[in-house]
Amino acid sequence: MTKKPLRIHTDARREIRRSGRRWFSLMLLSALAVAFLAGLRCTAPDMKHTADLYYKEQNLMDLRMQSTLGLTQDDLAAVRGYSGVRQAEGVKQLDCITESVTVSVFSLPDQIDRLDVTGGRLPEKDGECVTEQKLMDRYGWTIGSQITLDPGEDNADDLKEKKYTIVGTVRSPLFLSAARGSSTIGTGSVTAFVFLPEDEFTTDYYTAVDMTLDGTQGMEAYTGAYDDFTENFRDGMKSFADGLVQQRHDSLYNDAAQKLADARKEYEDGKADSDSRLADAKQKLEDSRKELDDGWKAYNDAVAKDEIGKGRKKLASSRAEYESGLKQYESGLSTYKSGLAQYSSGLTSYNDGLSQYNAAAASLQAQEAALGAAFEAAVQGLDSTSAAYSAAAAPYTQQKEMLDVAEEQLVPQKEKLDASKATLDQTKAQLNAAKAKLAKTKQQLDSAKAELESGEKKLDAAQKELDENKQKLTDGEQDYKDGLQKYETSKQDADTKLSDAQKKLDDAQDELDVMDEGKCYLLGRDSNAGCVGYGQDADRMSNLARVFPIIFFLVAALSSLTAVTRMVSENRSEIGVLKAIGYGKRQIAVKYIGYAFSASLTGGILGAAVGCSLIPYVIANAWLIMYSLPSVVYEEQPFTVIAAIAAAVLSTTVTAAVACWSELHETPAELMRPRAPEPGKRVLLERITPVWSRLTFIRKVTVRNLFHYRQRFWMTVIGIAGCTALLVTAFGLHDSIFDIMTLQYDEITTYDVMAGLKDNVTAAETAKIRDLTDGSGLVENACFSYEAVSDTSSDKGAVDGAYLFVVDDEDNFGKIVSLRHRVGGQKVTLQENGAVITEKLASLLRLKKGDSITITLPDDSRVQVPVTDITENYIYHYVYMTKAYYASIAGEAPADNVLLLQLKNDTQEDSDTLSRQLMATDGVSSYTRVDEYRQRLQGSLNSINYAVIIIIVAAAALAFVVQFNLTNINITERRRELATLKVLGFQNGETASYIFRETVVLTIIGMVIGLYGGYLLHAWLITTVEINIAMFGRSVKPLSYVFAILMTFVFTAVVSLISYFSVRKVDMVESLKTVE
Amino acid sequence: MSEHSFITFENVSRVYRMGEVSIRALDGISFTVGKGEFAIIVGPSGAGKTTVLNILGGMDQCTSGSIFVDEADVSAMNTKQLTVYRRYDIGFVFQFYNLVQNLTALENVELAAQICRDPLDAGTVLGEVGLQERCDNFPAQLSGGEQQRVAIARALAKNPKLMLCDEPTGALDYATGKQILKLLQDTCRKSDMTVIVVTHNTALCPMADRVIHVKNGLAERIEQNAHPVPVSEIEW
Repeated sequence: MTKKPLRIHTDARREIRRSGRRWFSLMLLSALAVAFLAGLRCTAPDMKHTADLYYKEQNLMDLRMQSTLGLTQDDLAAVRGYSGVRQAEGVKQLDCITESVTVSVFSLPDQIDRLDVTGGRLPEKDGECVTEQKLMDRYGWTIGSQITLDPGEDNADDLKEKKYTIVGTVRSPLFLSAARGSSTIGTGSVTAFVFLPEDEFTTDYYTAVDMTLDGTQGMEAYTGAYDDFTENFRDGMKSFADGLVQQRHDSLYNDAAQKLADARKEYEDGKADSDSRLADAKQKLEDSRKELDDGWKAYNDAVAKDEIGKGRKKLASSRAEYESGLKQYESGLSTYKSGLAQYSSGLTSYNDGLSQYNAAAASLQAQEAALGAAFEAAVQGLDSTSAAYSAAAAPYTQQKEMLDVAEEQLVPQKEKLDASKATLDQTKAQLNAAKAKLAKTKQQLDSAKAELESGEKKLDAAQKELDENKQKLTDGEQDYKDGLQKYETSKQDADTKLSDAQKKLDDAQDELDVMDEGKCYLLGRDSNAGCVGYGQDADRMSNLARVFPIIFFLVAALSSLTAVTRMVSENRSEIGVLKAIGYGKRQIAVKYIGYAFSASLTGGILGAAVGCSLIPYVIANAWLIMYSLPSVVYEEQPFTVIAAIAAAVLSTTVTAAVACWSELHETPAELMRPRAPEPGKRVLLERITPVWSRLTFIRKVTVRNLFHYRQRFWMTVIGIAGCTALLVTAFGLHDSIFDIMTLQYDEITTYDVMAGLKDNVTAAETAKIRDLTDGSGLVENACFSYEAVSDTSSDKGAVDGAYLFVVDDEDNFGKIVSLRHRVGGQKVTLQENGAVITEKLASLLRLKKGDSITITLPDDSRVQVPVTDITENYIYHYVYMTKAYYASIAGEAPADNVLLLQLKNDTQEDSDTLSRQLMATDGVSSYTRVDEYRQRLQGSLNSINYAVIIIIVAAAALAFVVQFNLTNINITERRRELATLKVLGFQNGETASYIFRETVVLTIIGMVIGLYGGYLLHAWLITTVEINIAMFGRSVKPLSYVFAILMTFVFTAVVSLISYFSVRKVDMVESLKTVE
Repeated sequence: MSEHSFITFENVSRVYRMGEVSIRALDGISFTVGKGEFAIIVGPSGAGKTTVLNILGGMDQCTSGSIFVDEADVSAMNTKQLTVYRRYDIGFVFQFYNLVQNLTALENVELAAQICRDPLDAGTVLGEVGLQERCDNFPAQLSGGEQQRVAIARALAKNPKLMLCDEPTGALDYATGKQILKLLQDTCRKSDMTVIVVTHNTALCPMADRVIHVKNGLAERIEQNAHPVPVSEIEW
């Protein structure tokens, strides 16, 4: 005979099957609670585990030794030999500019911090590099693209090549987050990393030595054990590291000292050399001076003797003689010439007289001839004595007489002529003698002239020589002067050069004297921004998981408690029967405990399975937007999972046991009787007659019922309140996170562009920039300001990297940055006696108005500043003060270094146009569009939002299940009542509304409490999930309350609709037949 | 009291406290029932019959007085002992049957039989009450009489010393009620089991060996029938 199963167990099993809906809802509650609790709680460990595996896979360093003096090959060997160091590897690092951004160039790691190749391959030969995808995307590069690395002037030779070919993209465990650190070149912030083979670096020292430690392989990252271990190790290694630095310092010091000594020697040699050379030059100068002086003396002597003058004088007298001779000669000549002319005229007149005479003689002769002829002719026949003859001969004789007289007259003339001829001849002779004398004189004169001329010439030559000597001397003087000047300048040059060299030597000596002792930093993973940030974000998730799911859990537990209690009381009489039959309490309780146990265990396991895989997956992968890590790897977390399941099982089962126990405690006889209904009571409302009398009968019943069933009242109210609170919180979280973007960038810091100005920008440049921005037509408002990064602290804490803004023109600044109180919204004005700080900064430093904040100024000095007011702000921290106040604390007013611009249309296009114009202007060093920040931040906030969405979904699911459960209980509990109503002739709708009116009232009461609870829960929770650089919104938007209300109502409606069918199914006969 | 009295009630009182009001359901009742007797406790509504039965069955405790069943002092038992007492010594039949709805007729009987030291075979007992064919039916599929017969079978299967029936016919029609009473009377006779039936129907008195008239929490009168009448001969 096969052993039959115990029938009490059969009953228990059948109970589960029969009341499937209740069991299922109980199971679902457990599932939700566990999924949420375990899932959220597993998230942080899973995130950390994922990171841990990745660290192990890439062999992330445990400790990094970084020295301000660099580390040598010997140092590396020493570190390798240090006990407890498993591996050590040197890292070379150099910041370079590529395109317009700064990149950190690292030597390719070998064992430690291995790169995770995401595309392509690692460099294999010279001229190859790998970088990160981000940089490739930025410039649209692909594998095979060339990249130019410019290390800047100071380190120009630190890399072998200038151009490298990208052969792959990698992830580095050293760079989990987007932060790449800061640099002293370029814009100051590093955009990406690049890895090159180590021998591409020409430097002979390492920037850092990374090491892994013995014993950390077995430890999980982010655990206390790991932190303690590395902390201890680090403390132990400190003195060793200091020793290395001391050595390095000594060797550097000695090198420097040697170099200084060499330099000094060189200096001395150089100085001697230059001195001797100068002395030579000086000697030469002095010689030439002497020579010149001698020359001058000779010259001056010559000038003083004045032989030339004398010669000239003699010459002059000779010339005077000559001149007078010449004059005599010339007068002689002219006398001669006049004599000659006289002679000539005498001659001429003689000749004329002669010819006249000759002619007169001739004519006389002719006339005589003619008269003789005519007389002959006339006398020819006539005797010479004849009177006719005589008569004829008379004229002739007269004429002849006349002619003879004439002829006689001619004789003196002839004599005169002859005398003049003699005189003439005499004159001629005289003249000729004079001529000869003249000629002789002329000859004498000419020779004297020649003599004079030659004397002149000689004198001229002498003068010329003298002049030449003078010129030579003058030239020599000039040369000497030049030489002297040259000497002076070269002496001066040599002096400056030497004094410079001396100064340099002195400086070098000074430097050597105060040489940096060298500092060695031992940095663990807790100094790596990515590692720490990731850990903190994981912790933030764990903060979120710490309390939030517990509230969730409590609501679920409350709901299942109601369900279980209800079930037990429903089975009251059956318990009585079993008791009557003789079953013990325990045997009877098994059914209920088993029921609760099976439902909660099944739900718990199911919930754990779904929750622990889905929630970490969604959240952790959402964080991958910010961190470069592989996809989430689940860690076995038996404790968390088992604890969550156990909590669910226990809370449900213990509830069942307790409910059961109180029933079982009663005697079977009591149990068999229907529980005495609670005595009807008048409710408070009845006493308020004006209200009460106005209620319809059915409403009065509702009111009575509400207050009658106290337990159910509270269960429902708390259940619904809890769910509403969760919904409000969830929506509120979403508001808080996303509001800050609009609040910050659309209401508080409304500038769209921040342009950086160069140091020492001139007034003319700023005026030009101003003209440009005013004239561009794109800019709405512009404001120059001074901005610096400041580390702030108070006695309660410290916050690094706050932005210090120095405001000149507060009105103008106010157009771009709105300072106001978050509560009330009053404007905050800057005072002349302190600073205004932002709210989150105040809360982190626990400062209030009137307290003092310590800030660092750009010269690293620390100043205590009174806080005059606190202003609303969400992202980053700011300290605002007036220019006058800044000047009073810093000693001088700062020069503007940023230009804040509010664009008319903040579009990419406009911004690009403006950027091109501004960057082409002198004085502008950078241009940043705020929208880029905003997008980046949005990404990080989106990650948190995934968690929030999970919460919303879970809260909604819970709200639904809770309401479903409560309504279901309400109906089953009041089956008989409903049946009676039906018997009385109520329609289905009326019957249902009898129940639902209560539900609605309870929902409203619960909701109101829930809204307030949600408000409180949200206010508390928001601070736990907040990230340090941001303040999440503190308020829940009205719309979120509306959403929470609507969702609660929708669930109520849906649940009511489902329940309506249950109400319809209530069989009045069946329900009234038996006492249950 | 007679030395072979199986059940002895001595001056038993039961006071229920309902808030400020105390209701004396039993007010010092005394009676005895001999072993193997078929006893009827009869009286008007509210006289305390059911209270007597509940206390006798270990389902309730008296406020004062003592109760002996087969020489065991039931009034002195703690709840644990009472459970053992109910388990091994008592079979109970209720007015509204009180079957476990999730279990079939047979399983309901087995449910009771499984916890006893010397149970009767559930199937056999069901056969005896005439329900072989219905043994796989759930209570909801059985008529009232059938359900009451299952309830009786459940009580019988435990093979108790004492069978207590609270208005077993109260929810049944005349004919069915008669069948049930016959079943009880026959069982008593055949198995020498002490059976106590609580009823308000005085017409049933002749069928009992002993009739205890209860009124206002007291045994007003105890009758003994030397010759009880079979149920079939009684009309009401």
